[in-house]
Amino acid sequence: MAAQPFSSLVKSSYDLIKKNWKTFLSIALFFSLVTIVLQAAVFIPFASRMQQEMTAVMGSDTNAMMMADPSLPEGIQE
Amino acid sequence: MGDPSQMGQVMLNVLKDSWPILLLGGLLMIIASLWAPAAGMLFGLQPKLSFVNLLKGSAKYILPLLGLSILIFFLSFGWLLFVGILLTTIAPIAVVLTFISSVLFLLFAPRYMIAPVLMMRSGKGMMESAKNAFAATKGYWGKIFGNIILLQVCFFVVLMGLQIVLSVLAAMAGDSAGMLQSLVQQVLGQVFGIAFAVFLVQLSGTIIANPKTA
Repeated sequence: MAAQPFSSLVKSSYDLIKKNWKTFLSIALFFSLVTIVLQAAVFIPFASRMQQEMTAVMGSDTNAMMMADPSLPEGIQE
Repeated sequence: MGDPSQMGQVMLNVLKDSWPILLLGGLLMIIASLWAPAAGMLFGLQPKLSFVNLLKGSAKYILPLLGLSILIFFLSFGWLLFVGILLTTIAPIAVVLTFISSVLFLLFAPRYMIAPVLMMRSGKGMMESAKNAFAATKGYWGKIFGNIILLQVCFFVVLMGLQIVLSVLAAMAGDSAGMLQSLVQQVLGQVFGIAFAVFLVQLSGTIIANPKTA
């Protein structure tokens, strides 16, 4: 006997998921929630803090540049 | 623009302050990324299990799956990549070794692909599962490779379609929809990941049932 073709494998997977869709969806939602919570609790605050610190450094650099070079356009000086 | 060394210092300071939480978050992410396919494969093997029992049952495979992934990485192409990294000072050799390791990856990764399913199905160890997967997939490289690529293409097309619909809906809903869009994308990613695990179980089932002995 030959192995099942791709279409048949897709169909049997689809049937299995369809028959037990509640469990399937519960697993997907659970792991989505875990990922979202982790991102919100750890990675997003870290990224925003990094961005804040970077902006602060770049801002102080711009101030220093303006002091050194008063010929910068007025818009930037403000 | 900020001075690169000053920016580097700022990055280092932020990392110094937050490395424990980042390390913990990273570890939890790794655990989740191993647990989700384990739950998907267990669902494919025993669809009648309840949600809680699936989570409990698949949790015990997190460490073995990590070990199996590392083992397969080294058995298939990792060893050569490692040599390539060691020889980075000799650039041409490193490039050649990286190329060869990519070829080895293509040759061996499909053969080991069903190893996690075999491990969960039989409860055998990492090494034995890897060996059994390699033996069982003899003559099936093309089928596994082709089926996986085909499935990925199908997923990609469906995801792109959904992405377009989501983008249109987000544009209609205004600013607040951006967050919702990224949440829906996360859920879709998990749905496709678990569907892939279920497909892998079906694929390994048909391969094991029809060994090519010649």
